[in-house]
Amino acid sequence: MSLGYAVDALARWLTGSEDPASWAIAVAVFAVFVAPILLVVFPIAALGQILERKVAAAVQRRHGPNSVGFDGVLRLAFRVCLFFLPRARQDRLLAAFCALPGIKGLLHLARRLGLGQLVADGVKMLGKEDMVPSGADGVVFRLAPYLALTGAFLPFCAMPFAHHLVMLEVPVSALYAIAVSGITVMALLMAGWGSGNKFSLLGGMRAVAQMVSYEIPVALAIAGVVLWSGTMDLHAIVGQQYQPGVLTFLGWNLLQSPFLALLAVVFFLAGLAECQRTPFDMAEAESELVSGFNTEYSGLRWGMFAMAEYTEMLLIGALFASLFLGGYQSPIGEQWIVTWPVWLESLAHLLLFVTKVLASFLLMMWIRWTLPRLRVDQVMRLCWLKLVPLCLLAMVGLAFTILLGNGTVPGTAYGRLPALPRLDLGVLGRLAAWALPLALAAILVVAARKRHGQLHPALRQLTGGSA
Amino acid sequence: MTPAGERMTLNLGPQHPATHGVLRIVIESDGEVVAACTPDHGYLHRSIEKIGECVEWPLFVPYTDRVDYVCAMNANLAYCVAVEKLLNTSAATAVQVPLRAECIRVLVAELNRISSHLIGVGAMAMDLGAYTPFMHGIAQRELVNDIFERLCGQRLTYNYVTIGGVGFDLYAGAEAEITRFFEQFEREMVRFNKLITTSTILRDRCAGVAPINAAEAVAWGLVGPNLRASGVDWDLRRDEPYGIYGQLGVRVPVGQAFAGKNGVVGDCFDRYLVRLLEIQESVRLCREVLKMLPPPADKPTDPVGGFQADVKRLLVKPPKGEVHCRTEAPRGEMGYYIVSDGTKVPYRVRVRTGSFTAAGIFHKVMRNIFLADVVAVIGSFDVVVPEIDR
Amino acid sequence: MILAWVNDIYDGVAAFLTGMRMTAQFMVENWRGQGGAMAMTRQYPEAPAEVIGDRVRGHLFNKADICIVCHECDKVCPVDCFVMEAERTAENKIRASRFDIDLSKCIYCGLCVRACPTDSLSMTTAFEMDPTDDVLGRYLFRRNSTQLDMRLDAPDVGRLTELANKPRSALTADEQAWLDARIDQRGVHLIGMFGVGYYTATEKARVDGEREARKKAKDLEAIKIRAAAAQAAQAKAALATPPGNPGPQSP
Repeated sequence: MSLGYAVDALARWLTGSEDPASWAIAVAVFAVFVAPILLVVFPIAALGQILERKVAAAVQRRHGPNSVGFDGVLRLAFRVCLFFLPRARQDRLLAAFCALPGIKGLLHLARRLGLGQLVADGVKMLGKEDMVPSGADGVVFRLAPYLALTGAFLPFCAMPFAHHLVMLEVPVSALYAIAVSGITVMALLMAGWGSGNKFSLLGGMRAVAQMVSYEIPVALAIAGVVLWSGTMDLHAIVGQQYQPGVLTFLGWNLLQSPFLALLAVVFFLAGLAECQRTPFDMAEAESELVSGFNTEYSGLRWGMFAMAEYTEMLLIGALFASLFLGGYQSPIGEQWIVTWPVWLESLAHLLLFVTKVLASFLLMMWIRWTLPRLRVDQVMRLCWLKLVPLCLLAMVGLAFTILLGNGTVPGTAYGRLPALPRLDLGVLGRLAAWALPLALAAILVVAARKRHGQLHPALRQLTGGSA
Repeated sequence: MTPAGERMTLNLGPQHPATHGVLRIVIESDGEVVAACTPDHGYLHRSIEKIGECVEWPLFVPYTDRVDYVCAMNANLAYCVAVEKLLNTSAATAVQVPLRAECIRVLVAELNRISSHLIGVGAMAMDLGAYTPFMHGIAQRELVNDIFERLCGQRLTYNYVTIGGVGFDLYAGAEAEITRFFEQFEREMVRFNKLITTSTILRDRCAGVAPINAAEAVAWGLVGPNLRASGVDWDLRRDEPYGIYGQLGVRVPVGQAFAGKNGVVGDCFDRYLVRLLEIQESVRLCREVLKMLPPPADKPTDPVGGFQADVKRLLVKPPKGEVHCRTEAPRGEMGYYIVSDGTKVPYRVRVRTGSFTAAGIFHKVMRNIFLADVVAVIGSFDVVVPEIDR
Repeated sequence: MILAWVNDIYDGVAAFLTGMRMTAQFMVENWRGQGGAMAMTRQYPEAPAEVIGDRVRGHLFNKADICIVCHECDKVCPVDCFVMEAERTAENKIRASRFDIDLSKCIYCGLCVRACPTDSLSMTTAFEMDPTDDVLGRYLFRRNSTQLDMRLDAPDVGRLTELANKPRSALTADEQAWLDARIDQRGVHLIGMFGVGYYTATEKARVDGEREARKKAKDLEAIKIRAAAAQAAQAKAALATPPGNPGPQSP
């Protein structure tokens, strides 16, 4: 295990020597850890609530939050900062500030997007009573939200945010990420048990059953990628997807083989289940379990659960991007970006990475406002009868592709190299690798539709077809 | 079968996000499996039947709005038809509802059936975790409410149908507006169905859940869509027509295990889909009625001219006797049993509602199913709690 | 078995994609403002809530000068929200000396308006129930149960309206005591006063004018429709009369 480039550089810069003192390393670790998590993950997770409400509103023909802006916050800031001036003077200054070009438009935009909800919700949550029900197991109940948040944030330590922005260079970071995120299971069980509420208990049990089961397809999907790239280091997996030339995205794992694409889909679905999102949100199914495991929580502790949920969504998005979408790399012309100065390159990488994560984030929300919820047994059936077999199938297919490709599994690569050796099938090989499995799948689907694909005529007629 | 073990008592309601209104169901569950359940009613009891014995005949109409506020037009209609039937028992007080009023009655009743079923299917989808269809159902319902607001001035409790006719004639341009509404409504319903009805998740969750066979449905007194979903071809609009329904040729959708592979006749999905098919049928009926609507009477502001029979004086001294009259409301038969002692106040008004009988079979079908299925079953019966409690 | 398995997966994926396409359509429509939130939602406190049509059943209003205190409305009211008393004028005519409408009891069913023989009782478009509101709430008062039995004669009503619409600081101690004896800001009964309406004089004139115009337009429309119908009927009759012409053939 080694610390990332950014940590080393920062520590060296702090002490001015090649062999930095341990305090400097500690400070650097803290800084590098805090930088992406506090500046990127935390705000996006906090924004998640608003984003979610906006997406829901768009799908449901509503406006969503569109009234709370920063006007009040601005006024409060003027009052506090200029407390020594008389009130009329403060107001004049405020008016003068608002008259500056663009300010009014910005305030209006913030109102229309409901950004002020961030502040308002935060203040509301802080102000609420921190209740512990009388029948609750106090310690367990109080501890659970912290654990949930820990489990959600820790995996980001090993996440390659940019080429130079990784806190821990763990050789097995993919394994580390799913292992550490397993802490959340504990947290949900604790919350469900500790609340002393039957609905919470049911929610907690559902959450555990579901998350433990879905670790398997997640792990299998990651194993497939590991099989393909020959490394368990997320950073190396990202680096391996580098493709010289303008069309960098052709190197992404998603496009290498249909089996990898299948694994990507499975990973995304299982990831949805891992973070308890619709259609797998049985653990907090509103219409069945009131609010599931967090029924009894209030105020900031509830906020922590909400934060953990959104952070976990980000985690799945980040893993998905790293494993299948080339991580922080640009889809086009990555070869130029690597020649930029380190800070600019890091910034560009960070932005690209955040964009990819946000895309998954929004996709998850879009799915949530489209689909109904699965039942307990159906969730399990989907996992064991659909996702796991599909994963195994994809693994076998992938192994055959590798064997038939050039007969060698690429060497285990590890390090910060711009391009790592990887399996190259060539144009024809890649076409064949796509065409053969797809043709087979198409034949199967056609046969299956012929045998089983009858929809009741009433259903066809309701959707605009002929009866 | 549930293995023998310690059972947990769960209180679903009276305040619970899944129970529509203040419905309470006490569930004995063995983990996720419901072993037994007991519905507990009475949280919304307002003594409407008793009020009926205290107010005069026409004054009870606004109260019928509150029996089932999701389809107040049908509730109005049920009472008014019953009182007309009472009046017609004697030649001296016979009342003839004008044809235009009959047409308008069918029009508003079917429109309200549409808006009520929209709530029913939307709420069921919401119970199953899909929020978007509900909002789209509500959006369409709002458009129906707009028509009703133009028609009678209210959006929920209409008090529109009166004994002997309807409260107001159609407003100018009503036919065009309703036709326009149907055009966009059918487009929207296709999208609604594509969004949720064809969803495999919804189908799998409802298929084969809580099936009720035809004999059981009849034995437990199920009515309306819940009865038809079990395969019983029975619709009062066709089989015991009132008003002008006899001339319209109502086509009755019947449950046929629509879900396919795992479907059983009379399961939750059938109950859901029968409602959607009834919406289609209602649209057709409305169009038929618009075609046969007679022109308005010469003096449109005249209360007896073409849309209302003059029954005020008849209701001071109605014939003695008792009648039971049933009509097809969205939630099934809404029957009014009224007893008259010849005075201007009813002696007894008794309401028989569809939700009440639907709630009666809850404990029978909610056994050995998953906890998550309970909300699907409640949603599929489309119970409206004030109708249960009255 | 394998085919069923494949079919299950295909079904799920296809239905999922259809659903996602629908929601995507909704999103795009909403952002473009086609039939989405822009058309459906009214930003109520910011924008005024509009009522649709001219049959809206809002607060009851009684034109005291044409009311004959016949108690017809009282008789048909299912909830007994009227309290009225009559007196003789100098010309020996009946007029209302008191006409309280308890708007907190009223269920806005409109039976009273249908029953009113002189059309003095009508339902306005006002529906907001805030007695402190500047315009709409001007003549709505909250009263408690004991105050409800208190008789308010016409001059009292004038004084009450005048005092209640003044800021409290402008009142003398006597006036405040008089007012407090008659209205109670926390009272449970919301009373709409007789003969004064819910609008200022100019506003009322405007609303009345609009209502009249609407009525006239509607009548004109009805006349037009009837004329057109009569014409059509005539044309049809003319078409049917010539002998040997069996009329339009049905296919």
